[in-house]
Amino acid sequence: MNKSLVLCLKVIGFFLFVLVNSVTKADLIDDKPWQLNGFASQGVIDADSTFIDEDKDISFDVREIALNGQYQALPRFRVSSQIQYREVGDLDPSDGIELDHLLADWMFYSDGIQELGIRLGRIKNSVGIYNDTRDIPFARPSIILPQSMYSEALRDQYLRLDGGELYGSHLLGGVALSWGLAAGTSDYSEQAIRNITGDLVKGSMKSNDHVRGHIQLSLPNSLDLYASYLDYSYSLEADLNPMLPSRAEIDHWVLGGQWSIDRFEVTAEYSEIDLKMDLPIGIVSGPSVMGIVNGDLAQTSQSYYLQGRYHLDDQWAMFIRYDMLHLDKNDKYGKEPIMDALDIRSGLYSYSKTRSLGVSWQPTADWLLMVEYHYVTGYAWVPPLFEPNSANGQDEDWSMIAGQVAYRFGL
Amino acid sequence: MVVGLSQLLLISVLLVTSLLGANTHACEIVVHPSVKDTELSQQKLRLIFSRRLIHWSDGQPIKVFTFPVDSEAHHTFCKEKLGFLPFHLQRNWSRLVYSGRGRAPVHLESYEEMRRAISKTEGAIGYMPHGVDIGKNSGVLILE
Repeated sequence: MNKSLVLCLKVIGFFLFVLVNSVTKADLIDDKPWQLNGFASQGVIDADSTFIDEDKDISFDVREIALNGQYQALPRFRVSSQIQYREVGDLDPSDGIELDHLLADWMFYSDGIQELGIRLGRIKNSVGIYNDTRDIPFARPSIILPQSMYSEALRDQYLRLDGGELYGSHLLGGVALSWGLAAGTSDYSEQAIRNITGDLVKGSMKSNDHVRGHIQLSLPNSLDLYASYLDYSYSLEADLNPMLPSRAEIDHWVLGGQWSIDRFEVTAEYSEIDLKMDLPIGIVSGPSVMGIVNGDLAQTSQSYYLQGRYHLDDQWAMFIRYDMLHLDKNDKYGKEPIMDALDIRSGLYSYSKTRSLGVSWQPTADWLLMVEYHYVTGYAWVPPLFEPNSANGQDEDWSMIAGQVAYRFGL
Repeated sequence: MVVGLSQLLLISVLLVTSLLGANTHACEIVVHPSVKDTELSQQKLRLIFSRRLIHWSDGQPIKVFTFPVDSEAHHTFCKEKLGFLPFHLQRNWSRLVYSGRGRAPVHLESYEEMRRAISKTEGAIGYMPHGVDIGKNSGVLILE
């Protein structure tokens, strides 16, 4: 508690420092060592499933507020931090203000063609194209990202890690290569376990280790290629059975590409996740399943999406997307139960096919409005992931409408 | 006949001039005289203005200055020098800043501010619409 308080005070102190300097030196047009940026958004999501609201009601509790401060202490040494408040219906009820990232960045080598550096602290995870800025309205193509790849339910597992990262970039002829290798542990909110197990397991979720690597190739013809790999594990400590914690091991890789042709942009990503999990004995007491479990779970999920985005002019843009998730790539439509002991995650709850389209309007550089529609078949990414919510019934198709207004200052 | 020839000559001169005019750059890259890297490919300019390349070859930090993202000068610069639209650049900056991986460039409001910022900041790079008189001995180097 004291440790958290000290950290909190340090972060607040840092922001006050940046704020005071930003204001008092505002008359200088030089490249200031301090920068302050931020944004706020308010949205509304109406889904006829339990994705956003357990009673399937419309949710106005969709908001993000973030304050980002940076200080370039030395030409090669920089500190960056961001605090944010985030709330997304029942998916992510607010835990108050969270520390999004707090890192020290030292670039120890650069010669104009190659750069190498290290970051320490709380670091955002570059997984796929959008993960590290998934909460930033101005950096994402839609309010709700393709859920097969950027699951809201699993957000805590991918978003960031506390540890270190070695990074580099190299200019090879006309090709730019950027990479990063990171290791550490993750910090899971109370909601993280609820999104996975629902009422099945009540307890806590603890990160054991977390390793990540990513690479980005930027080709001269505006084609960017991405590859990411994530290897992590966590323990589930059930309140009912603290002596028998379960452990999950995840291998996750993503390949992707983004090609811009003037006003048109095509994005595609493909991902597989190997999940190995051993569940403790006797934890099952949910409304849809009763019994004793001593089960091991091993499966490989498969997800991919294809997205097209067109900028009509500097203010208007529209997107269209096809997004697919199979929880078990060897049994794509859930013909067999995935665990012998439990008949869960089968049929409609084993896959999700989403067709989306939306429009965004940016009347000025600081304001953004987005409206979008999603037509979904299946419930694979609707939490809780391990215990299908019976309220969704057996309707194959459901839809979702979302709207959002966002404002930013600085950048 | 003489009048016809001179008219033809005049038309030819106007045509050639307008063709040359069409080839003239609408925008020019400007740097502080301390910058030694004067051969900048489109890919390198993209990396520099996206803030993905942040040091010059001699190790000094690259300081990037731009006009506001919704200005005509910025739009022309993005199209002509980087070969993409302003939203690409802006999205790259958002990604860098909000992931903690980098810093945003400094936005300036006027040509005079750009001239002053480039001339007084070592390692600075920016751009200026073609034809803007930045004065001799301005302390700004225009890259061809």
